[in-house]
Amino acid sequence: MSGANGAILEIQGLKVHFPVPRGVVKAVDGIDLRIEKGETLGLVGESGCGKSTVARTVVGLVKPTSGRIVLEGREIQDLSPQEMRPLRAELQMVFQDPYASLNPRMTVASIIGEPLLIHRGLRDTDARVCELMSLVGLDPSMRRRYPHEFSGGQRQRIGLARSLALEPDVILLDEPVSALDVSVQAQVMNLLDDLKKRLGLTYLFIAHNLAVVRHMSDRVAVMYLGRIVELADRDTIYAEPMHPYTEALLSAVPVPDPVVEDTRERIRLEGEIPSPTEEIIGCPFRARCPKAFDRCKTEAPKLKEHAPGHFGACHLPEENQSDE
Amino acid sequence: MTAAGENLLQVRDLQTRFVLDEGTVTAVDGVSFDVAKGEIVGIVGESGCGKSVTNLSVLGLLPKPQGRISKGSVLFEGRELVGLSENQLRQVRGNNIAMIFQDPMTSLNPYLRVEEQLAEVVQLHLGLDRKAAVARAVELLRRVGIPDAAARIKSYPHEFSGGMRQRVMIAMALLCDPELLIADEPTTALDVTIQAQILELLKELRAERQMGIILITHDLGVVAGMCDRVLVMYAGRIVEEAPTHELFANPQHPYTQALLKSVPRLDEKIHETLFSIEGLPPRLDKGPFTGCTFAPRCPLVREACHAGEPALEDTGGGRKRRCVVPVEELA
Repeated sequence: MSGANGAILEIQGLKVHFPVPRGVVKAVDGIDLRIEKGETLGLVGESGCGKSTVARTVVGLVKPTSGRIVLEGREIQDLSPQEMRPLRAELQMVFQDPYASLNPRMTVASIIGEPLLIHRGLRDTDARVCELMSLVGLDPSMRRRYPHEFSGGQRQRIGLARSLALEPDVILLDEPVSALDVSVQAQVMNLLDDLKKRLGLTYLFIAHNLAVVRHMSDRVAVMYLGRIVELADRDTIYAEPMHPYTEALLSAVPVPDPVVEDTRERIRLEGEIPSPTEEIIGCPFRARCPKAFDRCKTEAPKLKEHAPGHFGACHLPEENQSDE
Repeated sequence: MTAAGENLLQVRDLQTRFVLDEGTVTAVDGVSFDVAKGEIVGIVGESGCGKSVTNLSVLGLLPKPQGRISKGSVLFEGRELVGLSENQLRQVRGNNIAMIFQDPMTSLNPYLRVEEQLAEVVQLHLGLDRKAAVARAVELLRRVGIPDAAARIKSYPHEFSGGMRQRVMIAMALLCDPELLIADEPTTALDVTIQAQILELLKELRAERQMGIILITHDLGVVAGMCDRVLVMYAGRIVEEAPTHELFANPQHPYTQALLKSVPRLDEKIHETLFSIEGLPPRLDKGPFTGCTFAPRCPLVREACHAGEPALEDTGGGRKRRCVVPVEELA
């Protein structure tokens, strides 16, 4: 990775543990991530892997158990909600469900204009609201309407317009297109791309759909059970995954082409993700890993750089080296 | 497919309407298709296209009193299902046609152990005694890949993971050896690695039991890997029907073509801008429409598209399309 000064957002040793009646859920269990200015970092993984918790912790919705979150050179993990407020102008989050994240009783104009009222004390937000609506491809003449009068894709655009109101530098996008139909999904993905270029934004793009993440990201991190198991630039991770979990994940994605589907070899993962409260000794993936061997049972692999910019948490590369 | 050709289900000119406060919505209009024994037929389309309503109509499960079949016929092994009494339909649903839905949690009773729910079905429909019913339920749980089935049958639904719960649902659907299984987005709520397991299971069951399957999905990847034949629906109508390989290799409707192009794929080089269909599907409560319902979004639109609704034309080789643009122009 490039010099230490390029990072706009840095996460170091982040742990988020939730106490539950039967023990502790280690939703995020020690992850490090650096997001460079202007890049899109994709974060993928299956449900319960902790990817959303990472984003929620970064914006201060969840308190970290330990670790550091550094935004534009400033440590933010211990800030109170009041102290976090001014940072909203730098850091915003967009959620998956465009239905649940908009207040149904507010007009679109007041939803989009609210951050301006709260943070800038602006009374007359109309001109800026119209500008923001045009920016995300909504017709400003619809600004007096309510969220239910819009389709799913349009509602996601409303959420985006709101997140852009304070001109943030970084946007955390949590499954921003997964609730949308394919034809609309493509529209919103193109819009996100376009906004990033025009406004010089930095994205953390969280999704479970590997094809969507591939399309959007410069680099991709794969999470499993609260840890990052692989991280590399987009083309490397999709062409030459080094972690057996990434391989299995990629091989499980159905390809919309029957000729490919008929001939393709699938890696079949046996079993399921262990219960989140289970105490894990060794590699968290070993119970499902087709390539697990003795060392995986006792020692958790650390995330190491195996090739320039290509990080993986797996004992296999070392094992293979010692065989040769 | 060995026994293919033997027809299981014949849907003819199905029209389903909902009478709502705002007016009458025709959710499904003029839908006809067949399902043969041992065949997997996919129905694809975006939300609101009528794919789920089509199947609720087949099952006689439309919400009452708003929804009703206003026209058409549904023949199951030659027997007309439209117009049957609730009791008769319940017999058909238990013994001949089974269904699984996207969210197994909403179809399982959270207060009852899985054993109760499964055994009850067997006792009711097959007339077995309790002991034999439980034995059959355990056998099927084992078949769908639930480890330690004899013990797990004592669990409550929430004690299973999402993937395991969907297996329980599949086991429940198979209890009475149905000839036809309707699966409505059966893997949409599941993770990809689990999805792969469930789809594999459905394929095995089809081969083993010569069961016909209707697979409703929005995921073109799932269709490509699973289905023998595909129906593409848009705004309540079938706009294209074709054998799976032909549909993907050579779509004959601009909507199918656009759908296929707008999905990002893992096995393709990345394009700067994704192909996207502008606009939105029509709101069915604004109907009836004159002309083709896809015309406002269609890149190949022309005068003739607005003149009247194109007929579903047979183009040979088991293919049908509802479009006036010559096939050659779509290439």
